Amino acid sequence: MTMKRYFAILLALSVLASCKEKDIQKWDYSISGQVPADKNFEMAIMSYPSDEKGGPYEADTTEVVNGKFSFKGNMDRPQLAELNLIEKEEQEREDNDVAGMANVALFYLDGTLNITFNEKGMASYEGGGEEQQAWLQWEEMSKSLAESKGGVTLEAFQNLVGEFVDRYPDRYVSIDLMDIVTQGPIQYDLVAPMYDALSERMKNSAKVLAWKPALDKAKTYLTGELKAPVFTMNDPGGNPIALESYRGKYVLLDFWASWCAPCRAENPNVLAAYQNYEDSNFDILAVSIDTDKEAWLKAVHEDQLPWKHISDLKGSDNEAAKAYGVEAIPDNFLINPDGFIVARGLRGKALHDKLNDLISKKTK
Amino acid sequence: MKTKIFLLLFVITGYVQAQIFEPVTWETSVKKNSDSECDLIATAKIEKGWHLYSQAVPEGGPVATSFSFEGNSNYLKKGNTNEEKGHTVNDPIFEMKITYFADRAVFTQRIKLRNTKPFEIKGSVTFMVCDDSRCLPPTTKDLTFNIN
Repeated sequence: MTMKRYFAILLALSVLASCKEKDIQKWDYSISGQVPADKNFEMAIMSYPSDEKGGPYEADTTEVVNGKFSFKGNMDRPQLAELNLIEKEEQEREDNDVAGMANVALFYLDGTLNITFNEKGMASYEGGGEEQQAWLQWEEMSKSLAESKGGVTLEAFQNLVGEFVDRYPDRYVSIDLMDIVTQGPIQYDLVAPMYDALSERMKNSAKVLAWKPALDKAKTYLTGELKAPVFTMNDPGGNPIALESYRGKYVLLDFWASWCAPCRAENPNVLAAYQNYEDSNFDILAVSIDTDKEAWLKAVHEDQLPWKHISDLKGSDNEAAKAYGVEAIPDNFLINPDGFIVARGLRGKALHDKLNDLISKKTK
Repeated sequence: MKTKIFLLLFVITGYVQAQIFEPVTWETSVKKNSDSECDLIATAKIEKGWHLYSQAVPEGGPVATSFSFEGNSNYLKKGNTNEEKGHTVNDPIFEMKITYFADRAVFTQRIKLRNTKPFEIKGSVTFMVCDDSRCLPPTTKDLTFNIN
């Protein structure tokens, strides 16, 4: 046995051992809280995910006695908990911003933590372990983002999560925040750098192991290793259009429907891309998962989409959508001149960037 | 401030979302109003961020939610299926007023009983859901109501 091999086995064993250890390890927490004496709180309800993967919420309830309450317990890993104070008599409350977070606390169940609610019902925290400290940092970061000039866009939020993961690669807070980019279809370019930044401990956590296969799958949509399933479907005039007839060109296979507002909102962007590259070797083929032909054609007309449109009018049973595993729309696949998938789910600026990378624009 | 709250909630709700999309789950119940009258109640639990649409959406917009109940000799439908108020917005994309439900929606169908023995009513609901960035196509779920 070579030395290298020997070390590899040792490493594997130690990883196994540490996994085993983690299985047994329980995280203790002890939460104590104070509320203003004049407030009429009866109970505190604390809810948190019940398992390592973040599965269904469990709720614990405790009485508020003399303005104090406490929770004690242990769990497989520190979890983000939401605590709500319940008043003896529900009071009419103005639905303003403060009321939204009043008498609510968000924190990690991690070590000994003290929560103090002020007169307005806003919580402040003292103590807690490393996860709680990281969470407080996230609160600061997200607050700065909300108050920044650009405000909160999905993109800015995703970037902030990436920044946080870079700073706290070994925290559960990081992988919990990554839920936002790992639930539903995964954008490989966005998630892969975050995954790579994570510590080995986090990479081997139950939650990350659960979505890792989806990340690997997302990669295959970029590498050009997946052959685009071929199919033939009719245009509104009943003429069969074969995907294979687009060989030799880049084609954006675009899934949409008339009743889908996010699709309709994206259409002008797709149209702009089409106009930019229509004179190059690029085309669009749009598959509608409508069932109502009239509604479909009306939407094509309203949004002025000059490329070819096809549908079998079977709605969610659309054969092309099934072949491509499309669940939610809008969704699209960029297929190269050889008939292989080179990108999926291109929206907004990402669509233009990708086309710019791949297609040399012909000057008119 | 509001955005901060939004972010926090956003994060919290991320936890409960499954990998496979099923943002709406349906539960049924039956409320007895009198010996001869019941309400069939279908409750939709909607995941944070997703919208279920009203039964009354103008044409050319999202697909409206619709109910159907299999007729049988044990009962008669009384009127249409009622829904809660929901949220009504001027939709900038469809340029029309659209009513949707978030978090939870309760639909109620009043029926008149024609006899007193227990029986079952089969029905179905067809609905679509969207969040801010995507939609799931209309789908139909079976509903069963047990009258005791």
